[in-house]
Amino acid sequence: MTSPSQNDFSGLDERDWQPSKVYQPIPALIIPCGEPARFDELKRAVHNRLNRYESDGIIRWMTTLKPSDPLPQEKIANCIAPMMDLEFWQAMLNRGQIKYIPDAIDHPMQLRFVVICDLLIGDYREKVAEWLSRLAEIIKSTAGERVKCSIMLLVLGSPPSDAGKLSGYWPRFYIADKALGEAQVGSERINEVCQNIITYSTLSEFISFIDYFVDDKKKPARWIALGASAILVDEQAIKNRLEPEILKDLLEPFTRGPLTDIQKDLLSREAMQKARRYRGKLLINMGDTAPFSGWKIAINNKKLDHGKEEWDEPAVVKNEQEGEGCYLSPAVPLAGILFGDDAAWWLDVKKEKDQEKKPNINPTLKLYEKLFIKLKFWWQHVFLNSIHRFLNLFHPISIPDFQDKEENLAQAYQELYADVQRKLDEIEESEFKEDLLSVDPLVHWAAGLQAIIFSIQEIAKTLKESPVFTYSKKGVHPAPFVSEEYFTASVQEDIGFFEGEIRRYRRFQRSLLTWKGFILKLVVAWPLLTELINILTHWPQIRAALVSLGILIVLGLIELIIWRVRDRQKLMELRSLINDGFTRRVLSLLAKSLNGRVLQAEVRLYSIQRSIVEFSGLLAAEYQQAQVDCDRSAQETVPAAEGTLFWLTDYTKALGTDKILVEGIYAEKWKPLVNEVASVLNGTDHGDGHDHLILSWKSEARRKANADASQNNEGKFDKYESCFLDKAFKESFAFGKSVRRVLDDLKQTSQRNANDAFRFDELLIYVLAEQNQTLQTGLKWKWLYQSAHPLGGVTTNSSLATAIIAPGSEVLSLGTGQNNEYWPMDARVVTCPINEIGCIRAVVEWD
Amino acid sequence: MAWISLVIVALLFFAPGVGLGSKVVVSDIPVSLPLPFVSSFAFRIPFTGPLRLFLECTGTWLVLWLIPFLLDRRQGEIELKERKSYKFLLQRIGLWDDLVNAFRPYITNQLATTLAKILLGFMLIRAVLIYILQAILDSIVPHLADWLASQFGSQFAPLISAAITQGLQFLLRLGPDNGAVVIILCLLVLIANRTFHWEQEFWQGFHLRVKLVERKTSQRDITIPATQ
Repeated sequence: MTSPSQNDFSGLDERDWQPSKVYQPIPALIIPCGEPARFDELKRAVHNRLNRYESDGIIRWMTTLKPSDPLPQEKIANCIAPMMDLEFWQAMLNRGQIKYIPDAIDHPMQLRFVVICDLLIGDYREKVAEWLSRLAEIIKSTAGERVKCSIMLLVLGSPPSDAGKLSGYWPRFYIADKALGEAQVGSERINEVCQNIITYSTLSEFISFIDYFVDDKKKPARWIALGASAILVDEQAIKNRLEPEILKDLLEPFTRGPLTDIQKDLLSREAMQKARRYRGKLLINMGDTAPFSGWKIAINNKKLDHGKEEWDEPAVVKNEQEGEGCYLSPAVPLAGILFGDDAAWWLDVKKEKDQEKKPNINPTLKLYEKLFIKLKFWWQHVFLNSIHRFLNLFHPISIPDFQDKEENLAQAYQELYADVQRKLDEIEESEFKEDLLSVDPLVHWAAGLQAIIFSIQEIAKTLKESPVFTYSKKGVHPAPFVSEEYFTASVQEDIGFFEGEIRRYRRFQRSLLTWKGFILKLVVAWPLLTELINILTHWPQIRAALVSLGILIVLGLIELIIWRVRDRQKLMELRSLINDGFTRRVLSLLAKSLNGRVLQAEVRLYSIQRSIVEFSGLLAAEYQQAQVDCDRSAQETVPAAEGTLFWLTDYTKALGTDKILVEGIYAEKWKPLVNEVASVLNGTDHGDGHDHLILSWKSEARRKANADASQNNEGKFDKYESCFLDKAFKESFAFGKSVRRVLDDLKQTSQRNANDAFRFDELLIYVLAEQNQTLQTGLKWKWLYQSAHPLGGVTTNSSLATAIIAPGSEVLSLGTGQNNEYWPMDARVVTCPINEIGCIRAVVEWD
Repeated sequence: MAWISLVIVALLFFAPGVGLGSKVVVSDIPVSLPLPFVSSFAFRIPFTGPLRLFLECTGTWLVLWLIPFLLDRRQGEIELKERKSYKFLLQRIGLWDDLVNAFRPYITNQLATTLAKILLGFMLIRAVLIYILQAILDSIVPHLADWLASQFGSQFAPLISAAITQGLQFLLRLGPDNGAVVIILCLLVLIANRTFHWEQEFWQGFHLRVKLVERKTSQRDITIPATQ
């Protein structure tokens, strides 16, 4: 018999046990047995350490079985079935966790079952051996003969006496509440050791090592008492620190201080432009559908040097050039009611204006080509048009009669107003969002959310104060009402005005001689003129008569044409007056409609402003909370030993060591962070004398947020907050959605970015351990060995085995590894794929 | 109607080449006086031709104007009394605006009367000048010739006499072939024009009355219900 206090590896050559270079995990099912509440904490702890493997399904937990209850065979089968599914193995292969899909010959399917039986609480000790034996049988029968099952038993507390019934389990571990040497052990320590054992027995070669050890001794082992310790990275602590930092970074631009006068001035001007652009665009869009022909909404929007547009007050100008007239379209019902079949002639004044255009000649053309174009133009536009217009002089024009049209006209006004309202409904929402709720990164992010609030206030103020639009350089007064009575009254007013104008024209027309009158007047003058010519010339009478006749005809025609032209001018004035009158009336209806929309927009803006003020308050509170969380986690979480676990933390990669303004070469490297302050840390020195800075995870998250914002908005926004607020404006605030939900969106983004930025693999356990004073220069081996004192075990007929669990054996060849003075002499290295260093000390009790 | 009547008369009597005026004006009334020792003494009464022309054309114009004018007015009055809407003759023949309201174009509209005034003025001035020159030639030139001969020699007197004779000849040549016709036409035009303007005002007034009647007949009496 050998004492476990002595190294019992005397017959085991060091070279005999060699850890694998790459460990391939074996799918494991953990079956807790005992009181369910007892395992909750254990599950959580194991989950934190084996998170990735649990999510891949390599390590699974079964619901806790009570030894006092009958064994749920079906439930066990249901838990084993997914582990035997081909898809599951295929997924493992795809992830590179295994090299082969199990087959029946060279690579049998291997499954591991870890049965944890808690005998510290509960009264099942008497019957538990039989119950466990039955459980092992069920597992084996469910898995089938061809599956290579390893059923491990871990008893919490002293093991049952009848170990013979538990031959189905191997290895059989226990963690007793009395350590080797009879020292009392608390349940917390048992839990810690248990979680270490579960971690390393499922994800390391520890079981193989035990097998090897026992085989080497060539003695049957009964129970193995274990003690285990681990040095690990406190992933949660680093995350807990990183998340509020990232959230704080995202919130910071929203919470900038009060505005300066310069910023206010800038924002006021921008707000004015937005209000003008909004009104202008509404009008322009409405212009496409409004009942006018040849109208043009002129808004002087000159491009400025920095690519922005400057908008003046919108104005309905007349036709192509200002002052020519904006006319009702002959196509609208209103026109038909007023002018009947002649509506096109009465309203389409533009066509006549077009005839006065000049030919557009390309200066590069040859002389004869220019001449040809000029001649063609002259023929078409001057000669033919002149003939047409000359003939039109004598074409009778029927003057419209507005009597008995009042009712129809009032109805047409009403329909027109309703139509315009409908058109506005279609276009308003998009314009509202695009113009009034657009976030300008250049202007707004100088001063954060305060700038947005101020900006909205200014837009609302401008919308309220300014006229909707102008026509012929005068503001169009919106119709005061849109009731039926108003339409009737306005029709009466309009018709009264038009009839007055028509009476004036008729009076002028009546004062003109017709061709019959001309003849009557000139016939009398003929003999008189003949006599006069006769007196002056003494021509023969017939000659004088003919000459006088000729003179009278020419004189009459000239005068007739002159006065016809004047008549047409008067007619044109009348047409313009009528058009102008109707246009003003219709524009007043449009102005009413637009005014209504503008008022609605104003009300909505105030509502949005309230939401943003509320949102701003929430953000400020959240920012403060994030600040508190950061400070608290910085203070609370320090690397420290907790029983058998030594938690290491390091915020260097997460938060960086320095801060720099991103510009120059770093601006190219981290484009989304241009002109921002980034947290960085020094990278590997390339020997070129330059700093090689690496972005901290915090700034990496910020960079990603900005890059995503830029990508999702086609480069419109290059900062996350602009993009976020723009989206919040258009999708949430504009529809009165809860600001809390908007904030939740922001927090979710922050959380997502934190998860993306957090890279656990970069936190190398060896490096971190060397940075800690307690563990550096090999002291970690000493701490691990001492902390892994076996819980249980007998001093007689037993052997002590020590395993150091390490993520890679290469590092162990360095000075702080196996050659270190603190390295346990009897320890063997066991490979484990997770970023932890552990130690398990086992007391193997022989039969 | 006055102007239409004038047009008809002008064409009938004064149309160049074909008008009756030139024939009527030369036909002075012939008078034949039986004398005891001579077979007869026949002669024509001077100025009776132009007088006849004046009376004939003025009479024709008056008849052509007055008959439709009076009939139209009478019918209008009747209709007006009966409070009916009346359409005047000029309206029926489509010349209402031309002959009642139109005053543009100014030249065409006033051409006939202006020419008449010019011709009449010319004829008057010419007649006065001829009379003055003839008087000078007959009574002043012989005395003047003597006085000139005593003062400056005899060579100036024939010169003055020849100059006045030349002027007289020129004025006599400048006259129309048939001055009486021209004067009668001018007088007729001026008379007819004045009548035409009077008629215009008359019809405008009448038309206003018709419109007032129409307005009155179209008005509805508003009955205010008695207070309960």
